[in-house]
Amino acid sequence: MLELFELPAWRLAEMMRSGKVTALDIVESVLERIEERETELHCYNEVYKEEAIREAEEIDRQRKAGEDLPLLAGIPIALKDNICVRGKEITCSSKILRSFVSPYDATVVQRIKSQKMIIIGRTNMDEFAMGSSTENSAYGITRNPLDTSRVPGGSSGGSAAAVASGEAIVALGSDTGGSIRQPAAFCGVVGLKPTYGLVSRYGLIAFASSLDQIGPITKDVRDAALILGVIAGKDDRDSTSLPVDVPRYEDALGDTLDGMRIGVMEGYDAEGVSEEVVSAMEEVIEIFRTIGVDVKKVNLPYMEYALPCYYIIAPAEASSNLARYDGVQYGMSEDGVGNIRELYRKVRTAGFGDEVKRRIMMGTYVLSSGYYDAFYLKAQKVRTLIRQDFERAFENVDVIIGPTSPTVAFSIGERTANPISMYLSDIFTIPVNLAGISAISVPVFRGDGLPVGIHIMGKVLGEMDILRVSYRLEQELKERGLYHGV
Amino acid sequence: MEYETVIGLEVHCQLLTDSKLFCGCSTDYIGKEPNTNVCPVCLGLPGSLPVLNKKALEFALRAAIALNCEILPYSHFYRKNYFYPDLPKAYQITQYDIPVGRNGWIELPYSHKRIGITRIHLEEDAGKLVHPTKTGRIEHATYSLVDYNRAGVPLIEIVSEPDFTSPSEAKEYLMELRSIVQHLGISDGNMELGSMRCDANVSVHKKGERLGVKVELKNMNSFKALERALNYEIERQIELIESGGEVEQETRHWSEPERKTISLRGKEEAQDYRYFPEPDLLPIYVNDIMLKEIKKSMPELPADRRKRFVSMGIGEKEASIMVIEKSIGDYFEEAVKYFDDAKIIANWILGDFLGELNKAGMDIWDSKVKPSQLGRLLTLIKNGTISGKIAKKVFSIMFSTGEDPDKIVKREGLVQIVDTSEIEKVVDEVLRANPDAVESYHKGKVNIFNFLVGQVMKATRGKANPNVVRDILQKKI
Amino acid sequence: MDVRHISKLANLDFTEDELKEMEKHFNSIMQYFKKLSSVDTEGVEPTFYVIKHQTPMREDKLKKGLDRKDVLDIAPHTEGGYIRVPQIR
Repeated sequence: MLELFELPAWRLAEMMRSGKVTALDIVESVLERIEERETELHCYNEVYKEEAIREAEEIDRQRKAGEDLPLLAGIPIALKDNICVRGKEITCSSKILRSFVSPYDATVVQRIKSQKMIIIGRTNMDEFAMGSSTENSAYGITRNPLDTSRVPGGSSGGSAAAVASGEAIVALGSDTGGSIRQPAAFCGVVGLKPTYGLVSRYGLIAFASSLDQIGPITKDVRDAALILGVIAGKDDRDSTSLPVDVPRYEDALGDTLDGMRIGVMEGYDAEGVSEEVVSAMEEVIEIFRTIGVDVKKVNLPYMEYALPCYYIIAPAEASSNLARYDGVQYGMSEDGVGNIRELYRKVRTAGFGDEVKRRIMMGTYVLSSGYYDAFYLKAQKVRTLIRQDFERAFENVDVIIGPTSPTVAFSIGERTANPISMYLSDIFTIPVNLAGISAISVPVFRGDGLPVGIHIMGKVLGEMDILRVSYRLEQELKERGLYHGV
Repeated sequence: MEYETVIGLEVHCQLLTDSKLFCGCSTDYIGKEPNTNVCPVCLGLPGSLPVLNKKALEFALRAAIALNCEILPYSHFYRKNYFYPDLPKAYQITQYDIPVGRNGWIELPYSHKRIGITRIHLEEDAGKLVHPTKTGRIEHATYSLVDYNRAGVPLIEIVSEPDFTSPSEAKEYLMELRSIVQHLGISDGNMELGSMRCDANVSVHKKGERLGVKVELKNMNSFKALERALNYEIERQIELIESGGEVEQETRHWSEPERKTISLRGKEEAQDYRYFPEPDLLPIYVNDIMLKEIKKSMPELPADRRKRFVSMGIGEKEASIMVIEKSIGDYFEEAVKYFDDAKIIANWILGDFLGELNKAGMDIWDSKVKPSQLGRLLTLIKNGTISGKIAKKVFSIMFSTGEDPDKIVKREGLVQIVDTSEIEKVVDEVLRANPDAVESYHKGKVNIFNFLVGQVMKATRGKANPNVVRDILQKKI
Repeated sequence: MDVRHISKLANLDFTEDELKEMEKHFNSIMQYFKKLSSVDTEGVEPTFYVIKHQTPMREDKLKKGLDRKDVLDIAPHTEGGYIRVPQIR
C-alpha cells in the first residue's frame, strides 16, 4: 500500500474529488514524511506547517459545502527559495537575504494560489541559484534521498529531493543552466524547463535574466504537464513574457508518436560521460527504435562552445542583478559603519558565499571597459550560432534527446574543490538555456544503480512535443521495469 | 591672447506622464511624504521587472520630432551599472548606442544660430537624497536619508553638439528648449523644481589651436546660474592656462552661494559603467503609423507660435517673451478672444500685469485676473469709460480681489468724466483758485499749464478725460 | 585580470590569499574563454534578446503600489519615513 506522499498529484486530485481522501489527509501525510526525513535530508529552509494545515482544512470545508474547486485544489506544492511569496521570508539560500520578507507575490505564486494549491514550504538551493549540487547553500547542504552520501544536484536540489523523498508532492524550481533538469535527473524525478518567456519571471529573484525560467519538478510527466498548465502564460508584468495561448498540456499525453522524428545528440558518449549514462542512453535509443520511432543522429557543431559562452553571459547578468544587495533597503546589513562604501563592501563580503563572489567577479570583469567586446559581445554572438544549430536541427527532427548530465549524482564534497569540474555537470543542459528552447528530464532506473536522467529537448514552444515523447518514454520504462515511480 | 570657447549641453527633462517609466506609480512626487509613492518595480525589490510606459515613448518621440531628429525604427535599453544609494537596483535603465532619436538640430530664436542635437534618449530618474545638516549639503553630512518617490520617473536626455561658443548662446538654447518641451506638453521644464536639469561641458583654446580639455559642470539650477557658472569656468580655465597650468578633465560643481565651480576630485577613480543591453526589456520598434499619429497630434512649436503672434500685430521681441513663457502665451491667446487688439493686450500683459506677477512671484494663471476680465478692462478704456491711468488703478484692485472691472469702476466711482460742461466748471474753479499760476502762464512760464492740468485732474480725482481737460483749459486760460 | 580593480568595482573585499585563489580560478577559466575567440562570428548578430518581439508597453495609468510600512518594515535602518544610509562621500 502506498502512502499518500508517494502518489502523484493527478492521482491525489482524483482521490480528493471522489471523496477517498481529504486535503488534510494529504497535507498530514506530507508533513509526517517531513518529520521523518527532513533532519537527514534538509530539503527545506522553512516549512509552513500551521498554514498548510489551516488551508487544507479550509479547502475540505469548501469541498464539503459543495463549492466548485479547481482540479489541483488542496495539492501541496513546495517552492524553491527564490520565488517570492508575500509575507514570507525568502533568502535564495544566502546570508545576504536573511530575514528579507517579500511584500509581494510572484506571478506564478498568484496562479498557484488561484488554483487553491497549498504552499507547503520553501526549499533549499545553491545560493542565488549558482551551483549544481546545492552545496553552495548558506544554510547547509541537501542530501540526495536515494543515497544520502550524494548530492541531489542543483541549484534546485531542495525541490528535487523533496519530491523524490515524498517531502513534497510537486515542486517548483528555477533553471538557468540546468538547475531544474539536473537535480531532477540526480534524484530520479521529472523536471521541465519551459521555453524562455513561457512562464513569468515576475517575482523570481533573478540570477541571469536572459536565461532564467521557473518550471515544475514532479514525480511523473503527467504532473509536470498539469503544473506547467497552472504557471504558464502571458504576464503583463514581465516584458519578456510570450504573448501566446497556452494549450492544455495534458492533451499531449498518450498521443501517438507516429510521424515523430527523434534526434540523438552526437557526443553523448564522449569522454567525460560515465558508463552508466551511456548505457542508459543506448537503452532508451533502443526503446524508441523498438516502438518504431524514427531516430537519427543530429550534429550540433557549436555545442562545444556552450560552456564558455554560458560562463560569460550568466555571470555578467548576475553581477548586475546582484548589485542591489548592499545592506541599504532589505536583508542583511551592518550597524555603526562609517561610510556607505564601507557598508556595501562589508555586507557583500560577509553576505555572499564563495561561488557567488567568483561569479560576480567574473561577470564584472567580462563587462568591464576594454573587455566587453572580446567577452560579452563575443559570447552573445556565439550564442546566436548555438541557437541556429538547434533551429537547423529542428527542421529535421521534432525533439532531440541526450543525457541530462554526464554522470549520475556525485558524492558530497567530490567537486567542491574544483569549480570547473562542477560546471561540467551542466554541459548538456546549458545549451538549452542559451537557445531559449524547451526541455524535460525523465529518469531511467536500472537495477540498484542511481537513476540516469534522459534529456528531451524541443523547439521554442515545443512543450507539447517533449511532453508527448517523454510521457511515452515513461510508459515504456514502466513496462520494462526501468521506472521507480507509480 | 584670443581664446575661443566650446560648450556642449546635456539636458534632462522629467516627462509629464501620469505614471513612472516602468511601473504604475505616480510621477507626482513633489511635496509627498517620503517613500509613499513606490512599488516593487521602482524600488528594485528582488524579482521585480520593468514594463515600458507607452506615453513616455510618445513624449520622447514628440521631442525627437520637434528637434528635427532622425527617428530610429528600432532602439533599445541598456543598463548603466554603478553603486549609489539613490539608485535602488544599482543600475539605471537608460539608452546607449541606439537612442530614440539622433542627429537633429534647433535654431536659436534670437541669434538664429543652428545648434546640433546629437541624441535624445529615455531613461529613469533616481531617488532623492536628503542630507540632515544645517546646509543640507552632502559635504557636511554624517549620514543621509533616501526617498525613492522619484525613482523611476521618466526622463529624456537631450545631448547637444558642442556648438555653443558663448554662455549666452547656451542660455538662449536652454530657454528655447524649455519653451519647446512646455509647448509640446511633455515637461514643465522647471529648473528650480528639478524637472529640467542641465549639465555642461566646457573647454577653451587659443584661436587657431586644437580644442582644449573638457570640464564637466553640474549643479546649475537656473538660467542665471548656468550663465554665471559658464562665465566663471571659462575665466578659470583661461587664467589657469595663462599662468602655465593645465586644465584637468574633471567634473566640477557650481556653488551658487560661493559663485564658483568646485572640483569633485577626491572621488573614486573614473567610473566604469559596464553598459550592456537590458535583458528584462525587449527592443522598441517605432513604425511609420505610430510616427504619423504623433506627427498629426504635434502641438504648435514655439517657433511657429512666435511667427503667428507676430502676424497678429505684435513685435518680435514681445512675441518672443510670450512664447518663452508658455503660460503667458496661453493667457494672451485666451485674452485675445475678449479684445481684438492683440498689440494692446500684449503690452498690458508684459507691462502692468507682469509687474504685479513678478512682485507676487506667481504664474499668470494663478492670478485672480481672468483673461475675460482683462479683455473687459481694455474695452472700458477703448470706449472711454475710464482713462488709461485710472485703468491701472482698477487693474491693481482686480489683481488683489479678482473682481470684475465694471464692478470696481462703479463702486469706486471711477467713470471717466467726459461731460464738457462738468469739466468746464472744474476748470473755472481751478483757474479762479490759482490766479498766480495763471499770471505766470501768461508771463511765459508755459510749463505751469501742466500744473494746472494736474490740479483739474486732482479735483476730479483723476476721472476727467485729460485730453478734454487740456482742450478746455487751453481755451479758457 | 586585475582582481583588485574588479573587486573594487564589485564592492567585494578579499584577503591576499583569496585574491590569489581568485586569480588562479580565472586563469583556468580563461582557457575556456580562449576557445570562444577561435569561433568565426563575422556577420553574426549577438543574441541580446532571446525573444523576437518588440517590447510590450503599458498604458499610462496609475496602479496602487506598496504602503510605506511595507518598505520601512524590511529596511535595516530607517529614520522618519526615510531609509537611512551612512555618510556618502
